[in-house]
Amino acid sequence: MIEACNLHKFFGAFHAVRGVTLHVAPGEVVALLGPNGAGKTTTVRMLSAILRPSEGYARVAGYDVVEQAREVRRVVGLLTEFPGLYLRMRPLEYLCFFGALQGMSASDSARRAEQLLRRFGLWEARDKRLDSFSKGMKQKIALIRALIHDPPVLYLDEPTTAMDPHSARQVRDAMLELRAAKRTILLTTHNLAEAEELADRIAIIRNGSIVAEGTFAQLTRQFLGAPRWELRLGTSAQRAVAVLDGAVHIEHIDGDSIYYHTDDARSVNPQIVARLADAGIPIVALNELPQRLEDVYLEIVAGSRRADAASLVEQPTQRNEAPVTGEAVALNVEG
Amino acid sequence: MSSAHAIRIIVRREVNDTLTDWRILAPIFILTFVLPQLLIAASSVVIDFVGDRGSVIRLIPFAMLLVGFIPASFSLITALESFVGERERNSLEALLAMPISDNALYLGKLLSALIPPLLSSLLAMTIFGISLRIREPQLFFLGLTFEYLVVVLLLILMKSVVMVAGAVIISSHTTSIRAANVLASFVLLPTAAAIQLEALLIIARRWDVLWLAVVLLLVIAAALTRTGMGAFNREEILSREHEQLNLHHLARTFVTFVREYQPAGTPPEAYPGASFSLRQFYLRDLPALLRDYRVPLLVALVATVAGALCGPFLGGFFDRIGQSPERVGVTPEPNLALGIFTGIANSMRLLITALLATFTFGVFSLMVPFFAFGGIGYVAGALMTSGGDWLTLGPNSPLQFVLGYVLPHGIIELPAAILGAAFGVRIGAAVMAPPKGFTVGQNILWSLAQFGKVWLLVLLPMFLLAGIVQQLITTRILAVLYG
Repeated sequence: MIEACNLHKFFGAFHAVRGVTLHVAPGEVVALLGPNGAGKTTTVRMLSAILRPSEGYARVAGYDVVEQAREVRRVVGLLTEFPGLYLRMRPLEYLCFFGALQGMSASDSARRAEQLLRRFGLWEARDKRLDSFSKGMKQKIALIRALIHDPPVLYLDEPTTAMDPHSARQVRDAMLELRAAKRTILLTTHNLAEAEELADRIAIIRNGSIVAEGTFAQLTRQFLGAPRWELRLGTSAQRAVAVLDGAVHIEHIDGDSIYYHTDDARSVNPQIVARLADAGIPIVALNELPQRLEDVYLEIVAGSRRADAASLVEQPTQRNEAPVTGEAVALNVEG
Repeated sequence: MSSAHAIRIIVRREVNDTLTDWRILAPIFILTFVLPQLLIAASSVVIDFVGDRGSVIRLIPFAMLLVGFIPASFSLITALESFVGERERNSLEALLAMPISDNALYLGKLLSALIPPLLSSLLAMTIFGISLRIREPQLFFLGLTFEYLVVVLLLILMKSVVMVAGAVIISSHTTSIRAANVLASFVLLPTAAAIQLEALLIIARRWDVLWLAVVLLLVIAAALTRTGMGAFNREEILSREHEQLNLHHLARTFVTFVREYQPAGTPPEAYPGASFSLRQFYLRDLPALLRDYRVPLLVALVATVAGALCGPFLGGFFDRIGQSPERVGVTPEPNLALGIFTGIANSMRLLITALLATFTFGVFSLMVPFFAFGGIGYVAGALMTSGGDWLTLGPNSPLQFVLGYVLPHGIIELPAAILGAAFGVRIGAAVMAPPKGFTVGQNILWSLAQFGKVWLLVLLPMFLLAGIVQQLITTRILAVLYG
């Protein structure tokens, strides 16, 4: 549904996006994560046919973002980074204005606006001016604006920013509904828990390049290694070290707990339990520790920084020229 | 959805928005309904005070211009609010994401910035006219004529368009209302000067000159609107967020454009990076440039013909600069140094006018061939008036004048002037509509680079050669022809 190939964007001397390649299948939700200034918004703007790529090409729903820019804008719903509403308007007239610009009839856009306002709990506030709305309400209106023409592709830039937990939940539920309805969604966010919950795949962008991409499980495996286990014993963990020798590679010991990684829990864990039982060491608990996207993200971003620093040390005379490639960063991080 | 439909939707929303903004509505209301009454009351007081009815009657049309212009001047504020304000409030990106063209968005905003102030202006003038007719009927009938009303309406309309189109250009160079307000003085000051000139012309009842002012404002409005269209596009607007003055990058881009020729619109990063070659410039680049510059060359030719035709009507001007029919027959002594100096002076003149063309949409560049041919036209016309004829030679013959004074060096110099003007026009047009693939800045740099190359490698040698020919050959031909 979204196909971006080697996208570059220059703003004068500034190389904002460096060879982004991204494929999003119909009905897939992909989260685009990255620090501020990484090139997320510029990438989204190119995919929305608002900015022209300097190099490379992109197609959205089969339409070329340069040659068929209008068609692309018609099939895309864009939630911008800032709500940017017309504050003297009322919700219905505001949404109908954008519906009209999308080519909808007045009755269709009014009907759709009502449906969405009810869905997001804003119907009661329909007669109030938008300047009286809270930040979260404004954000919801901006989201409804993106949905007004029922687009098959959605770009959501920080959709739950500034929302209270209840509103954020409402929006996340709406996104889950959209995912269930096979809408294709490209989500940019700093909320990693949200990305973990909603996204089928995650792409991490830094300095204009995608430095990692995959499902949460793939990224976790690639950057944090095998699943991590915590074994809590009823006695000092030092006693168990000799018993477990050869069965598992222990990462570290902390009081009565032993931490280790294994890919093969089905065969390793029973073996550990059996050895400890034979040695009479009581087991209190054996848990797989949750691996969070935040850890993956921080590892990748920190790894990229290390790679940047390394490239600066290695090539002091070329520091303005050679961009760090995604592959180089990934290799460096893995190493 | 058609562009017209999109424009209508945008205009409806924006006009509604303006009409619900009390910060704009309140002053417009006061200026529309209160100012006309105050001016009429003031007129009555002034008549009693001065005791000279005739003087006051001459001021009535100016008062009407004022009544109409002041509410119309709000178009600058509504335009800045519509273009920069929307950007500052981050509401523009949602509009940019809609399936409408840049031009539809621009025209929608342009019209919506114009409509409320112009309606208010029209209303204020109507109120002024009706009130004057009722309260001071003799002032109305003696002061206001139909022609005046038409002229003043057009002047106000044109100035409003100029202000709004100027505001768009300003807004394309700023990201905040505060900065835009500072830059707005570039529009306000010339407009204030124009009002003063119009006031003088109205008091002097020079409707003929005021019609010319209308035409001039129409040309400026059209040029600014076109420039605004070029500046108001998604790419330019969003690129400005990342813009920083990088002189090194500017210089690098300029050098890229100088080093090799690629058609306008080819981004600097797509240049193959070949080094500059004189052979390639003369054999490949220059012919390609001349093909590219067909339209500017045509414009320069039109200016040339217009100059030759208008020359006889501008006689006083040419007399003052020494291009007088009385000098026909004077045969100067050959002087090589003077020839070189003339060549350098002519090429410097062209260089300066081309640089000024950036700020004048190329008008300054056109002045070079216009006045060069204007002078020839003037002298030839004066010789014809004094009995000379184009078919015979003699001291009063325009044919002999052209053959002796113009042709020997003019055959080199005049094409150089036309060519230089064409390249200058292209610089002036660069700010109006950048070709696809270029920003306005790149377009200006590209046209300056092409001008620089052509000036140094074509025009300067041509002018030098013409200067030398003028001193070494023309003088000798003149000696033979005129004795």
